[in-house]
Formats: sequence, structure tokens, C-alpha cells
Amino acid sequence: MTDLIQIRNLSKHFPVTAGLLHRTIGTIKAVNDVTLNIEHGEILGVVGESGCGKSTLARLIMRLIEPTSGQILYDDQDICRLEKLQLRQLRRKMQMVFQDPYSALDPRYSIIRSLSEIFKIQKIEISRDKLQDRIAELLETVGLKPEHNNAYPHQLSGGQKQRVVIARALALTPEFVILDEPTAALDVSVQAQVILLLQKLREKFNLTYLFISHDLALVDYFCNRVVVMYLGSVVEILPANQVSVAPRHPYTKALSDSVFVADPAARKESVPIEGEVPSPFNLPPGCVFEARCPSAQEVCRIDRPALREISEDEYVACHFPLAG
Amino acid sequence: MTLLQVESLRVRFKTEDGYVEPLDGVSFEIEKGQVVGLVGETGSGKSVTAQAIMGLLPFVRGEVTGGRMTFMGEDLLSLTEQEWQKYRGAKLSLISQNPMTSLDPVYRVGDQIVEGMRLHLDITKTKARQQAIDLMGSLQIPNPERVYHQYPHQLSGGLKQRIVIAMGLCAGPLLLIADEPTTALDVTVQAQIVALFKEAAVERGIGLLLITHDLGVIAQLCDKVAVMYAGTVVEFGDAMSVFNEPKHPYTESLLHCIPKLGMQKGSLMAIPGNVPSVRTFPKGCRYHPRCRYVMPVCSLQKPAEIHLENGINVACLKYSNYLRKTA
Repeated sequence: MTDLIQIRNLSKHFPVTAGLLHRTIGTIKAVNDVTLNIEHGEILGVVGESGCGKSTLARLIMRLIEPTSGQILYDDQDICRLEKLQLRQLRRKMQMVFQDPYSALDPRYSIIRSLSEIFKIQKIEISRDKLQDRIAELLETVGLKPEHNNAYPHQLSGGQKQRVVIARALALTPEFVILDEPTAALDVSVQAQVILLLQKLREKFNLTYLFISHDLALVDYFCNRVVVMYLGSVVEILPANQVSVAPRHPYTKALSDSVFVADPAARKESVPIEGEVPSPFNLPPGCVFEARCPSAQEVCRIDRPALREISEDEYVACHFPLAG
Repeated sequence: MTLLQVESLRVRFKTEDGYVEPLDGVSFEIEKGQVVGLVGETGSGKSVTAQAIMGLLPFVRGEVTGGRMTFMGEDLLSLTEQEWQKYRGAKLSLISQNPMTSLDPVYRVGDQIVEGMRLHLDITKTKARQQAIDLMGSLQIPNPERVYHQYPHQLSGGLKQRIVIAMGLCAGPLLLIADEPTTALDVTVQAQIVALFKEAAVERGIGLLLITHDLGVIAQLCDKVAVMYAGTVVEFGDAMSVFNEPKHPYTESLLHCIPKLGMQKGSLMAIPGNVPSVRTFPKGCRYHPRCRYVMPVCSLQKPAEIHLENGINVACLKYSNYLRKTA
């Protein structure tokens, strides 16, 4: 498969300031030297706990924020160097669905207005009738009825709102969609509906997804490949079906062992990992996971392991990867 | 020994446009030393049930309109507010949803634990302080003497949740109610806190009512499960049976909605429609518009609670034949 997006040594550092003069006292490396590819037509999952940099990564790819260093190539075009007009044109091809459907829609806009706004922003010449038809078609595609046209967000349930947000992302027939925790605010029965819808849409429109989630079981089910992040760094990239079976990074294993299965026969007797994710403020020089790692050794404290290919389609950043 | 028994509980709230009835038919019980899970989606009435058990409804313009609630044989519904003071926080204790908001930001966390002890126990300040530190240590808070003097903003999410658990346990309650205690936490920390609950509750021999929407947490921790939908407990029974042979159509479908690690692609199923809100609860069985086994009678008649032979209680008209057979 060919790559749609290539990310090369991407970093985003936020300065931390203090005092009256906003003197910089350190940096938070929210995304630190990340390199990965997104292939045409795949669903790439990104998992990690809070503060691991997964949402910052999404915002960088959309160029909602500027990177500190590194490159993002979309079809061999460097996103970070595009002029305003070129960027706007590129954004027709890439869209984003945010976590919270409650804040992603303007409460004062009816659904039809929310959906037609994107055509205005992109300055697309379309007749009134055609626009109406297009919106009706979009609503039908995401499983909403024509009567929702004139509804306001407060009249819709959480699941329906998220469908509107998905319809808006699809309005300009994009080829790449970033899904940032699209079901985290929804109930389980509705979450399953949205996941099934996203699956159907991907097949229908030949989409490529970047799916961000903290729910490992969901990522395992929905995605082809998974990127595991910890404190701003990619620690492992592996095929989704390997996550629970043969994780190679100790953190991936801890994460996978921490997931409770909805089956009382599969109870866990011990706690898989102690401690919490440390603050990303002024990280130590060694491996990011060293402080919590059960197999950490002297070298892990001094030398940060680079992401390397250890078998086909498996990349791990660890000095002592687990046996596959 | 039965600690808490809730039978056909009904609750209504006064709102600006009339009454709404968030609970109608909540029945379950907790034995001493048992962990019971109360699971349901948004608006199913989990938190209102907790408020009812804690006698907090009058503070939120709610009232119990039917059913029974007994705690160690004592009728909770007949208690006066003054009598409630001896129960609430002392014999019954509630850990509410968000650990970040249960703590007062301007007091040291240790003092917040001591406050609860001094209110309910006849204990000196020095002794309470020592007990608080011991309690914090038993909840695996590293370096409790130092943490005692810290403020909430200095602690991580997992530590804050441990402090809130300490506050819930400080007066030695017989029943601890934990409302979504792990929802705000990361998965690796969630696993630690769940293990802690098991230890804290089971070793003290107290009852634990765990309220959550996460069936994984329930499966990991609970002896019994009550499944709630739109204000009704639709199924109550042994965790093993509820998960392995769900009787109510809602429980059955809900279990198919959750992705599991290593699950076959294409095996995820969804429940059509939306979770109804308290103002739009359907007539008859409240689940019938989404039910795959719906019968004409389901929209007319509210299903009664039926006791099946393996100790499972289920509220579904599918089983009314069973009732006739045994009668």
C-alpha cells in the first residue's frame, strides 16, 4: 500500500512560563520526535493515556497548531509549508470529528445551517437547490431523517449530534478523516451504532481514518494498525490484532492487561502496573517509560531507545522488547 | 445477612413543568461483605438510586412515592432528617462521581478525612489524625504523613481518588456506595483503584454498591449485578449468570455492544434508537421500542418482576409464561 501521510520527526513543544515577565522555565514536549506513516485506505489507531500527545498529534496533522520541528507530508506535499489558500484547498480533503459533539455544533445554528456553513467557508459555488439536495443526502447517509434539517442541537441526542458532526466532516467528500475520541461522550449502545456507521462510511467512500482513543478494546476492534503513545513519544506501532496477543513494548502490555473484559470468568488477580503517568514537564533523558517499567535497566535511564523495526509491520522503541 | 434491601422503589421529581418519574421499579439487595454492581446508561437512574438510599432526595426536590427501603431491618423511608444524621456518612457512605470536585481545594486533604471522623466518631483530634494516616497507608497512598498536609491540586487523579475513598471509609460505614469511581481515571490507574476497592470493601466485610456504566469494571469486581434501564432494574442476579446467560433482552444486547480485545471483525452489534430521557419514557415496558423480541403487549403493560429459578429477577413480559407455569 502507498502512504497517504508521512510524518517525519514531528515535535511540538509548549513553553511553560512563570512570573510577571512570563519567563520560560521549561518546556512540555507534547509530541516528541514522532515518525509514522498513514497508508491509503487504512484505519490507523492511536492509543495512550491522558497527556500522551494523541490529540496534539491530530491538531498538528490538521495544522490547527504549528509544529516546533519536523515534517508532515500529505501526498508528498509538506502541510507545514502551505500558504493560506493552498491549506484551505487541502482541508477539503482532510476533516476532523471531535470528541464532544455537544460543543462541536453551534447551539444557535439549525442543522441545515451548520452543514451549509462549510460550503460557504470553502467558497464553493453551489445553487440553493443543489445545496439542499446535498444536505438531505448527507443526513440520509449518516442515518438521520429529513425532519432533522431544521432541528437545533439541543433537540438532538448525543448520538444524533455526533451523526451531524460526521455528516459535516463528509460534506466535501474528503479522503482522510481524523476521529478524535468520537464515541467517548456516548453511551455504549450508541457508541456501537456510531462505530458501525463509521465502518460503513469508510467502505462506501473509500476513506482513510486516523482513529484516536483511550479505549484499547475499541481500537483493537476498529483499526488495522495501532500506534501506542506514552508521554509524547511513539513507543510501539503494531498490527491491531497483535495488541492483546503479542505486544512487544512493556507499556503496550501493561495497557492491554489493564483492560477489564466484560466477563467475570476473566477476572484479573493482580494489578498490571503501579504508578501513574508522570508530568510531561522536563522529561528525563532516558526512556519515557523507564520509571514505571518492570523490565527497566541501567541503560534505560540514560539512553532513549529509538523506534526500530523488529519484524514486518512491527516497530518498537525499547531496549528490551518482549518476545513476540 | 441482608444489609440493604430495596423493593420496587419509585421516585419522582418536581420540575417546572410538572412531575417526572426517574425511578419506577428499582429492586435489589446487598448482603454483608458483598459487592453489588448497578449498571446502566445515561439517564437510567443510577445516581438517583444512590441519592435515594442516602436520603438526599429532599435536597434535590425529589421524593419517594412508592416501594420500600430497609437497612439492617430498619425502615429508611421513615427516618427523620435528624435521625438521618446518624446514618448518612456514618453507617452509609457515598463516594460521588468526580474525585476532582469531592475535595475542597482550600483544605489540606488529611484534614478533610479527619473532619468526617470527628463528625461521626467520638475521637480526639490527635487520634483521628493518626487513624487518618493509617487509613491512607492502607489505601496504598505512598508517604501518607506528607500527603496528609498537601492540597488537592498537588495530587494526581489516582491519589485524589484514594483520598476520596478514605473519606468514604473514615467513619467505618457498613455500606459504601461508589458512584462511577473510576470513570475519570486512565485505564492503568483504573485497574489499581478497582483492586483497591475489592481489598478495602471485602477485607472490612462491608457491603459495596458500585455504580458504573462500565461492564468491564462490574465483571471484574461484583458478586451480583443489577442492570438498570430507564429507571427500572430490568435484571438482577449473580454476576456469572447475568454475564453468561443474560435473561433480559436489554442485558443481552448491551453485552454485544461492547468491543472486546481480540474480538472478530463484524461481530459488534448496536441497539437501534436512543436512550430515552426522563421526559420521554415510553409507555408499557420502557425498553420495548428498542427491543428485538418486542410483542404487541409490551407497549401496553408494564412488566412485573419475575423470579426465575436460578435466583435471577427479571422484568420482561417474555417470561410471563414462566409465571403462569409455576403458579
